[in-house]
Amino acid sequence: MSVALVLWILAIVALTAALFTTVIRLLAGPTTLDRLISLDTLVAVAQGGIGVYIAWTRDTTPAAALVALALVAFLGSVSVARFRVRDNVGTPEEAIT
Amino acid sequence: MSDDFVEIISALFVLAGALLTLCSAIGLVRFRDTLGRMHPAAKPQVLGLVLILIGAGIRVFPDIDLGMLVLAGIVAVCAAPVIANRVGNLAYRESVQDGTITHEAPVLEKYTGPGIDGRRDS
Repeated sequence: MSVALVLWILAIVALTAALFTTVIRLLAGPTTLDRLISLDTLVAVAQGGIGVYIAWTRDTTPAAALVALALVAFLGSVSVARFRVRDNVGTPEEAIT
Repeated sequence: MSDDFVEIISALFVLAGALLTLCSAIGLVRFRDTLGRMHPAAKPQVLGLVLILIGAGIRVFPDIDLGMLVLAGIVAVCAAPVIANRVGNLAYRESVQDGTITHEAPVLEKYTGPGIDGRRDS
């Protein structure tokens, strides 16, 4: 077992811990803005996992998935921030009118 | 020996990026309100992703061109401030309206009119 293999495994362990920690905030966030932020961080953790895969196996096929994931996360976050209604109003129809 | 050295340097970059992502996740859990949670969701996350991409680029550099990795880094760096600005603006407005923070900009308010909640601070 070489030194680099230990470092890859440590990176994957850190990313897995970041995944579970982010999911805690995603489940427990009091407002939808917290859930939006944690979903954004979750996409970044997934991108980090793809980057670790690329660096480990020297296979750059999933690099297009990195770009696609970044663009979809950007559109999703901006759309949610644009069309969001507040949490403490009753129904969405009441919030609009 | 040379290949092994490059591999260890790349692995160190990737490990630093993964640890920064872990710091971002821990800050997301530990911080107090949404405006505080914007900071770990914006800054260490982007730096961690860029470090991971630098590590991957060091590893694959001589054989394969790394245009897609550079493009992913550029998209991440450009998209994160926009998201942080939108969500932070929204969180700030709602926090002012709920009264959980106060609008503390009297000097700016002298030039831009009354505050965001429609009344001047006395």
